[in-house]
Amino acid sequence: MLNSIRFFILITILSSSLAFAGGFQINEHGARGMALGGAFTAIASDASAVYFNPGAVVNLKSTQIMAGATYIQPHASFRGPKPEITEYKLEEQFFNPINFYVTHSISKDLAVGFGINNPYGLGTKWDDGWVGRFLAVDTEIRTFFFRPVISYRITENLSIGAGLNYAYGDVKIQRKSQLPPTSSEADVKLEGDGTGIGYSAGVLFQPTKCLSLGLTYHSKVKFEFEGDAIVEAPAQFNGLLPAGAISAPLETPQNLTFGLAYQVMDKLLVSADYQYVGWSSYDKLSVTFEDVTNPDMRVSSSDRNYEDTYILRFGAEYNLLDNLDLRCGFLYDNNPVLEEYAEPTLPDADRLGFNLGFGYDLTSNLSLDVAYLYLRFNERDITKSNINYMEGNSPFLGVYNSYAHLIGVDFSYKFN
Amino acid sequence: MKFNKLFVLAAVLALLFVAGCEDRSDLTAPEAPNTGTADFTTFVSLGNSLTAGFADNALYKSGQEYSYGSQIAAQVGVSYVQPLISDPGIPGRLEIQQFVISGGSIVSVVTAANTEMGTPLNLTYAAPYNNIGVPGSILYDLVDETDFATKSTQRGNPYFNLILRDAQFGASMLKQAINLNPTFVTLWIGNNDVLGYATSGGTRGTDATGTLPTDPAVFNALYTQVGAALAGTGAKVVVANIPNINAIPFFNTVGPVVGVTLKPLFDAGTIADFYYQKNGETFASGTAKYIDLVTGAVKITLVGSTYASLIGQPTGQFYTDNGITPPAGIDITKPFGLHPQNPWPDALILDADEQALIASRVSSFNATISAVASANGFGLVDINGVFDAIKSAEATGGMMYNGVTFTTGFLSGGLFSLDGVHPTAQGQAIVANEFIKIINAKFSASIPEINVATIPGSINLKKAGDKYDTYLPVYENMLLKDFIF
Repeated sequence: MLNSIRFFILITILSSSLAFAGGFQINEHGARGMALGGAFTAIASDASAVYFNPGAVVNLKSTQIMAGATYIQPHASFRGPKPEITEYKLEEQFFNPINFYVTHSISKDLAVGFGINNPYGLGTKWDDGWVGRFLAVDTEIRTFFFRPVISYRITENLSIGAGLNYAYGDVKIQRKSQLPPTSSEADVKLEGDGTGIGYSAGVLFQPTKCLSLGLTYHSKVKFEFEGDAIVEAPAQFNGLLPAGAISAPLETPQNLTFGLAYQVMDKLLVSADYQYVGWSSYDKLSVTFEDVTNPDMRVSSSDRNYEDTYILRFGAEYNLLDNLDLRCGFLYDNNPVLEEYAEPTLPDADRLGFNLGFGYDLTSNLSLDVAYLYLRFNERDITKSNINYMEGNSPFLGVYNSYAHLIGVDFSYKFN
Repeated sequence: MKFNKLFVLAAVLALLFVAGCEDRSDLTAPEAPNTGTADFTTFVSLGNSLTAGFADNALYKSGQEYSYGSQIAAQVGVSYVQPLISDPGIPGRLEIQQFVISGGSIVSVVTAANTEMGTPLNLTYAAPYNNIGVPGSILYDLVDETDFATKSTQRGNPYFNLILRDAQFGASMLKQAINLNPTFVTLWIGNNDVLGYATSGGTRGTDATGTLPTDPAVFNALYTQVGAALAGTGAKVVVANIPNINAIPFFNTVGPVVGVTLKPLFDAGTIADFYYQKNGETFASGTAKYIDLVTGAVKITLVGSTYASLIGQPTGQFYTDNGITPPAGIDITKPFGLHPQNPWPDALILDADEQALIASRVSSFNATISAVASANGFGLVDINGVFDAIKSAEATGGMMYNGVTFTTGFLSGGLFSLDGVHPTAQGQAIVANEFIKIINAKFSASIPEINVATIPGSINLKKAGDKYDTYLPVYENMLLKDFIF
């Protein structure tokens, strides 16, 4: 007669257990590219070419090293749930994805490179008593991509490159779970890590002295996350809640970027990129509770139904002094999350980015690149939602507002 | 150097842009809903424990905050003052001590009464409360003008004194309501005029003899009087009727379990009858088959759960627990419940005759409520019909409200608190919505219904550090001493 209690509890614990939003993608992987709005595929003239366009690595002379990090400070608020208009704010957090690249020219026509960066990451932290605590409290994803590449010049104005991506990632998701019909709540923590393999390829074509075109592809990477579910609840629930080993496959999307750069005049270079992001492959997320034997409760699946998206990027670089470049950029990032699936794990929305930056040669070998990016998310008013914040039909309707400050710093060293 | 200037300009513009956009949302609080011809300026609820927001056999703040009156007031956006008592309430509420798990599933629950007493939080409020729901009150209590303190002592019920406090606010529940000059009144009363009899297994009552439910003629006269008095205030009034006992877990949880447990003994011919005391006799005249218990033709009350596990044993536990000397003729060495000389006690069972009397009273009282409502132009909430509909929906899994399934099942049903009689917070929301539907229809209002899914679970768990009743047996202790409705 009371069996249904257990059913309720399990379902609540399992549902919406893992989210991986478009906002987890990081596109800032080198301060020069970042200052140009990310429109760097057809330029790729520093060691970050390992990421931005492996086809351009062969153009880099001798041995070059580039290392840096991006400081990311996101802000988000939610007002709701409707008809309530209470405002809840993300707790202060910052992230610092790193980038490290090294390239080495073997001959005029052949070069190799290696890179490490974090193309997916970030996280959110909400107060653990907030109204959306059954959806999200503390979520964090980190990935490290290790990228050996090889680059080959086919003709004077055409070069190609390709590489392997070996990726490591870890995920932490912490939130509350209702224990209906009781007033108590459980603390649910899912942690796991895993690895995946993918590849990248790039082409750089320079039809004229002033114009260059670039094309870069990053494949999907399928992670097999394995870890543990830790569920803390009042002692009365001992033996009733699922816990133990979990596994979850998670696939990062493929990216295809087409870029062009044009030397408008001696001192002015402009660039533009179109980046296609194949989020549609990420249609649902399944978490398997390895220790749960009941087949109905073993796998928790939540639909995401993301859409493919694109990012438009524009940049300009002005060579002010011999050793100083000024840069600015602009980007428009179309978000993949349908209104019905928008949720506080990582509040996503279409966004505009405004970039500023400079490059300064400290010595003839050592240079410094600094970039600032302000990301302004469109206000997102959720009027229909498949995301319930409590057991039953309780759509999480409200208004999200987000913005972020990003600062990127890179040092580059060129061996003579 | 003109690009230089452009860069500076761009930088300045960008900084202005950054500075100018933080939270851009322009949401405003929702407007007060249209209440039509009903005016909620002074909203008063009259009633018993159900109106008070009593749950888990206690009156406590986190339950009171979800009383249907309080939830209606929140939807309308008006002030509604209640006689709040801090958690865990008065008396200490029932909490879940342990789920009994078998085969990975919860098969039953052990409850314990928290004896950390709550304290009244606004005793000094200088007017009658908007919520004049007094737990334990019967219809007569609305007009009874006995001194509150005296009455609380006489009835062993602290709430008359705690809630009504001072005769200067009005000498009776009804007078306190009228003294508030209400513009809107809900009235849900009469439940205890049958429940007093029903929960006592048909051994006590609210009629003149103290052994039967309230007399229908008395009920009719009193209800007519109360109706006229409320009509005289000029307030808009909505009344609710009385649910029958078929949908209340207090009466429908233990019997089926006992029946199923005894079935193999009946099938094997080991026992021929379940013996129960019909009317205080010492050689049982009541007999039931297992199927009578399963179907509810004979109902065992929730209090009986304490003794259900003792069936078949030579025990006088019931008499010991209740401080009763076993009556002459009762032989506690005989198997309890399975021998006519140690029968299942009358106080823990409602047989077919008693159920028939209850059904007839409920029907008669509801006829009165309906007639008085229509004579005075009051709205009428058919709570009896709603509970019956939920009960009927159990054949197909239960009744869905806002995506949450409810049944009348004990605990798992989500509708009733641990005392098996009083609603959970979500149950109160369902009741509030039934009132809102009638208010909207009757007074051309458009008050939004409550989303039941957004009302949190309200059953509490036993906590380390609090004190609990120690007299309770370890196993399946649903003994509800001093049970107050």
